[in-house]
Amino acid sequence: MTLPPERWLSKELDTPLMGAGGLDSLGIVNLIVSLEEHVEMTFGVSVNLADQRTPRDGANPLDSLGALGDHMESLLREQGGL
Amino acid sequence: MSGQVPVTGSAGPVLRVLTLSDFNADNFRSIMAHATGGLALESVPAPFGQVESLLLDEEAECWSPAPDCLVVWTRPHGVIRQFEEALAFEPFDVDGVLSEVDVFASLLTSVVGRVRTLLVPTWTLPGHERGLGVLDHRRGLGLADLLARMNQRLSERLADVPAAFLLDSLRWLQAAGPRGYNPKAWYMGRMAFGNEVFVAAAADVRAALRAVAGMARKLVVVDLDETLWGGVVGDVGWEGLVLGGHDPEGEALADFQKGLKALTNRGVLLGIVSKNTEEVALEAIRNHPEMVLGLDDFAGWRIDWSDKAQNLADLVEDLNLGLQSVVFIDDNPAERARVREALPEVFVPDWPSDKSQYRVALSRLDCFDTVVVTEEDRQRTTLYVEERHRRAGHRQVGSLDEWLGTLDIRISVELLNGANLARAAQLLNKTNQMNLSTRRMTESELMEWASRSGHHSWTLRASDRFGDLGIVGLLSIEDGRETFRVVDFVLSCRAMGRKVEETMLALAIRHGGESGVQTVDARYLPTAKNLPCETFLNRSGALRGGEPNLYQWKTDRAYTFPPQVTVITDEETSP
Repeated sequence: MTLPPERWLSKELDTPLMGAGGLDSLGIVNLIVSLEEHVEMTFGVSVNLADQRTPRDGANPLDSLGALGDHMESLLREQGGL
Repeated sequence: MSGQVPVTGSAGPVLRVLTLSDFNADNFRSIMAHATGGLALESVPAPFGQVESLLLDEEAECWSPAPDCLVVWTRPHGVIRQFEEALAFEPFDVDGVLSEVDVFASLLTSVVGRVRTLLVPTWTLPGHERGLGVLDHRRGLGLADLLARMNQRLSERLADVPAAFLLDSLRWLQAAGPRGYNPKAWYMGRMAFGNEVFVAAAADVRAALRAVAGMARKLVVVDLDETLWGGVVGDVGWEGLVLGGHDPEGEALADFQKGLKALTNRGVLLGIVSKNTEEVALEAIRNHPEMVLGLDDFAGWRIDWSDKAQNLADLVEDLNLGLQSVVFIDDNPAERARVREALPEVFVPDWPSDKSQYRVALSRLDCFDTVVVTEEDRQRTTLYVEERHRRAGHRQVGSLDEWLGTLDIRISVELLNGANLARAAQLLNKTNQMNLSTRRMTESELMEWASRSGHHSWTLRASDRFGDLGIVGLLSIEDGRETFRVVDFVLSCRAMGRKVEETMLALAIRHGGESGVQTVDARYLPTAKNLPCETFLNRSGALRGGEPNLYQWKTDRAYTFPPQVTVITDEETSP
């Protein structure tokens, strides 16, 4: 689903996903669900981006676009999708 | 995603849509409001999970200002307590479940006075719910059987509420496939459906609102070569065309023609605009044994080598329709682009290059939806074909009045009643050209208006020696102490120029004179489309000089019925 232009996020690695300038709670849910579906369709593996154990080394993958990208790459490697 | 979502889509009035649900519908609201589709919608925010209380509480914030449309979208176990038990495979009492449905339906009908349109998606379960498997459709035992009965009961309970419509949500889930439901979206955000479901639902809501607003398309104009049949008739002759038979492409094209023919039973007219030699093309339609459509299925055609956009505009004018009523189907992307550019009001759908997809593409068009299908709709093609024959006769007769005199025109006038209400409301909501004030009302609103003291509405049915045109006119008058006012002066475009408008005006003035008032007046509200009404009023002999757009007629002057017309009135009910 496309957000209205005024709510688009900047495509920068340090763009925050949560908090000021980021998405609201429903936006986060939409993003997670949408990304998981895309990953499954594209790479043929299931990933759980809402895993409660996610902040493994203290960094929250939803802190920024860059952190989320790194996290997804890590999950894909674990699942054998890359 | 929360908050009021105002949106774009057209220059018309913004319709406020309130959605009450037992799940988080913010995605649906946002998709609905931002989708395109000829209507400007504003999604009214409301908390979820409070369906019953918000329906009951007229003072709740979401009711002010009043929404135009209410969508009540619930899961069956969200509002029918015993269905939740059934879902847990506990024994259930079918009558008890249906009683709960009755209560819910009563709650729904209680809000109809607050909104003009009530849309209720049918109850469904996500595809992964297997119920009792092989027993799931067993009567009195399975969930699928119970759900079907619940929906049936809801449909029966809402059948007598003209403003209420059930929407088939199962189709939305089928369109979304495995993305129809995502448990993570439910557990994290209480979203009961995937966004693909919401996209399909939003499209249906928009289609329903267009139908209520009388914006349905009325005419499908098709190309011939590679659209109605395979091949180029000018090259291969009608004997060489691909159509029907034991050929996949031929079968697909015959099926497409069946789809077009089915549309005529919904009141949609068919036309042809094609670059061909007319006689060659007509010969193919007449002679090809696999043609599903015959010449009498078409209201008209323009077949020559001229620009298709110009031919389309001429055909539409000839049929007394507006371009906003038209859908144009052509296999050639260049021709589609040309018509889109030259006639932006015409809807030109993208069309598949694969002919096996034609019938599906036609079925997917939601621009023909209407809120009622009347007998006039079913007969519309016949009426236009008769009109073609009339015009052929006209060419052999001198003046227009002389020709009209040969038609044996008869006009029957009836007070608005339960039998003619549906057609009267349809005329009021779909007629754009000969429409004095272009007010739009639902059936119940119209009947309520007409039943007030001093208010009168009549329908006019016209026929001539070629056939019955059906109910073509609506006249509404509001009595005043010194002046009676014509409120609705509505005439179907297919009856314009037949002296029905003169008859209708004479009826109004006669009603005023017999009631003892000196003057009958009418206030013309100009729109982009009702110039024909102004033109008629300007030549009606009305007095001007007062307010702009105010027309007055003195009742002591003789406004007789046109000599070409025989008026049949019911003495008790007619003006």
